[in-house]
Amino acid sequence: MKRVMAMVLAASALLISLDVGSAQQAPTLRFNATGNDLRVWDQFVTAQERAGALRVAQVVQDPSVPSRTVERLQQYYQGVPVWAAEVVRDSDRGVPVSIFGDLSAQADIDTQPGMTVEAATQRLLARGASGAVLLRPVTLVVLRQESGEPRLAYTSVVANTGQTFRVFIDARSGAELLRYSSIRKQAAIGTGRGVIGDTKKMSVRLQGGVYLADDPLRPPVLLTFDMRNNLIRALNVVFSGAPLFVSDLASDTDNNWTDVSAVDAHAQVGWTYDYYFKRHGRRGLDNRDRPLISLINAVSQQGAVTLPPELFDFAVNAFWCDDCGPGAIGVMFFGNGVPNGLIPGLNINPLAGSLDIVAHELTHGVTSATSDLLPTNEPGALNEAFSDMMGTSAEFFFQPVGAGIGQADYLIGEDSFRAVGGGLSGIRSLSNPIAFGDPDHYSLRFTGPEDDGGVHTNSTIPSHAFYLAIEGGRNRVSGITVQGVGAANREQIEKSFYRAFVFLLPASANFSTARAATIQAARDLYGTSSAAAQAITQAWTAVGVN
Amino acid sequence: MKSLALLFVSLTFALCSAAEAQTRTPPRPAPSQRPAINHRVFFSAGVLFQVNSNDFTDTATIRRNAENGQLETAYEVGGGLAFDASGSYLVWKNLAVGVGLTLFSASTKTTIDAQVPHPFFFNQPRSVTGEFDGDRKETAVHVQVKWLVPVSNKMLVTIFGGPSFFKVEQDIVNDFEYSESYPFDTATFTRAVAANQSESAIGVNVGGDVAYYFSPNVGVGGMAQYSGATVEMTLPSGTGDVKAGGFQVGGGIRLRF
Repeated sequence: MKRVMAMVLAASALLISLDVGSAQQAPTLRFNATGNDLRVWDQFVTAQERAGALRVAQVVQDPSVPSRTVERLQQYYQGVPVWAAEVVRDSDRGVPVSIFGDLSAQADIDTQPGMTVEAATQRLLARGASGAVLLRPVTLVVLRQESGEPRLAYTSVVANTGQTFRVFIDARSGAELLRYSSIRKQAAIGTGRGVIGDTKKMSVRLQGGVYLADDPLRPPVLLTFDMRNNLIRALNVVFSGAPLFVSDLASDTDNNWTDVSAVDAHAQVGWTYDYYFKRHGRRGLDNRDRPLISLINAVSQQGAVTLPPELFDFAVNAFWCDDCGPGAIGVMFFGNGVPNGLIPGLNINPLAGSLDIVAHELTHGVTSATSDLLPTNEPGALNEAFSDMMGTSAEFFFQPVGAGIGQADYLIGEDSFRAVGGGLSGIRSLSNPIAFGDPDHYSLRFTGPEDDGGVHTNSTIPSHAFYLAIEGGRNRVSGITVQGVGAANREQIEKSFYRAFVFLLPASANFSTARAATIQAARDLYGTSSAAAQAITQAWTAVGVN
Repeated sequence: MKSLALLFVSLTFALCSAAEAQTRTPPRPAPSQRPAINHRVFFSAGVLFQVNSNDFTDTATIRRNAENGQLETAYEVGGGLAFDASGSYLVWKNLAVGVGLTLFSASTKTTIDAQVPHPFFFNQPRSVTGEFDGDRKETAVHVQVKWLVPVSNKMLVTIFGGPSFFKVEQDIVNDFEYSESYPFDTATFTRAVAANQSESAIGVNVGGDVAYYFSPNVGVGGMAQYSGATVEMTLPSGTGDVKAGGFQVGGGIRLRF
């Protein structure tokens, strides 16, 4: 320990970032090393580690920055852990990037307890009511009290009816030194009404009395940011990488959420993650739980009325941008639509309200991390088609089948793009593409330069094949009838297309390559002459792709 | 409870009627031939076996993940051995009054069957089942009016009844804990959160005893009694009735002085 002190004092003389606690009896050593002082502190930490005063308690790969490794080191005094005295060292491929520490600089106490663990167990149990149990092993620690005075203590978590708390007792006298509730209130399940008026659950976090759209239950970081109708800021975040703060998160004070965009974006991004995990065993965008960042409320519906035409897309569109956001983290953006009546015959409600749109955008992220299909012409159309296929599949996974609002169908965006006066809701149809003027056969494909070579328009050719492979039916143009696998077996087609698009397709694949890859995928999964392989073969032929 | 009271009243009437009939039935035995009660103080102590079980259940609504779920608890309170002791004093002819004590304890197995709402979706509860081993203790103090019927100098039949004061201690499962992980489609029971509860109630006792004295003061006897009560306990769903005691048979030592 004397060596520790010597090094601490030496280090403190050198570094400005050292913040030794001011009170004489509170010799706490805090340091935040992120700059030039890193090397010295790294040497200090390494020396302490060698001396046994710091021991590695945890090593994790940072999921948000894969090249980073975060080590958590626990301080020990004469072999006894000092409670909550730690150093966290973040390294990039072995090179320290930051070191934060909070250590006890002076303990100087006898580490021989005055009672056995068994006796301490009884004392700890006595802190609870009748029937109390200990949820953690009884541990001997050095506890730094608020006064700074170190005390040798036994600790455990005591649980009895209605309460669970960690308690520390003096290891000699048995007197209680400290207790605090072990119940963490951060994770919370809220509810809210979405765009179509349905009630959804939201996995959120409670911080400072406010519920934040930060999902603590799903494996990836899943955040929904409210741009609070500040389009300029939204553009800065998306395209210039302006930082996002906790204060930017969508929030609610009573966990009964009323912002329909926040409810649907946050809940349905989570559902889409769930769909990929449960159906395909995939862990999010990159299969390594890359953060899922959504931006909402960049423009209010009323604000959309006065938007210049070049920015109108930020009201009536949604998108995924792989290289956007702070640190190119990748963001999903959902427009809020426009006031009813602004566009004759069509109400455009917040786009996050459509599960298939949300899953469509997230799937673009999946494609970016896998086949990375080029965004133009046939590869681009395949990219869009795959997003529509997975968007539709997510609907069928979670929603009841039907043609109504909030029901699973083969329309895209029908819960946000609502036809008024008897028209067809949505923006595309996988079952009947021609209803929106999109091709249902390769011979009708758009060949102009607009829409990046018709990526959205022509997406309905492969997505219609996807529909036919599941449901079966006769192609309107070719007249070829497809024997689909049936709705009960839709999983086979979903998995075949997923396998082809995620694992097999090259970035510049055209429709013909997609045909071959999806048939191969079905053969891989279900056999050469399986119903799935035959249905997919027939479906591609029916839409004129050979 | 009413039926027990009726039973007690009927037995009392039956005894009185028997005594009355005896007075009308000629020929009356000579007083010297009739077994006499030559003792005033009677003690008994022994072991009883409680025949019946006192199982009970509770169904409560629980709030988890912003949705209502359900917690069903089923308590198996089986029969078992009880210690019983009583003392009585002859106050008039064949009538004695006394006090008795019955102590009963048993392990109770509680089955927990819960439906825990999913954190992400409505109407997709996870089933969580588990067990908890708790305890039941019953202490019953009986105030007894006894009618003694000497069959011979060595054999004494006693019929008794009266109110009983029950104290019931029962481990009640108030809540439970479970473990879960993403995607949260299942949850696993980890432990019950239980607390011991003690409640009291007034019940009734009624029964009969046959004693054989192999010496002037010491004998053995067998008895059968019903002593029971219903206590009100606080359960997760609110307050509920919990039965205690029941039909008990057994035997032990008998003393008279």
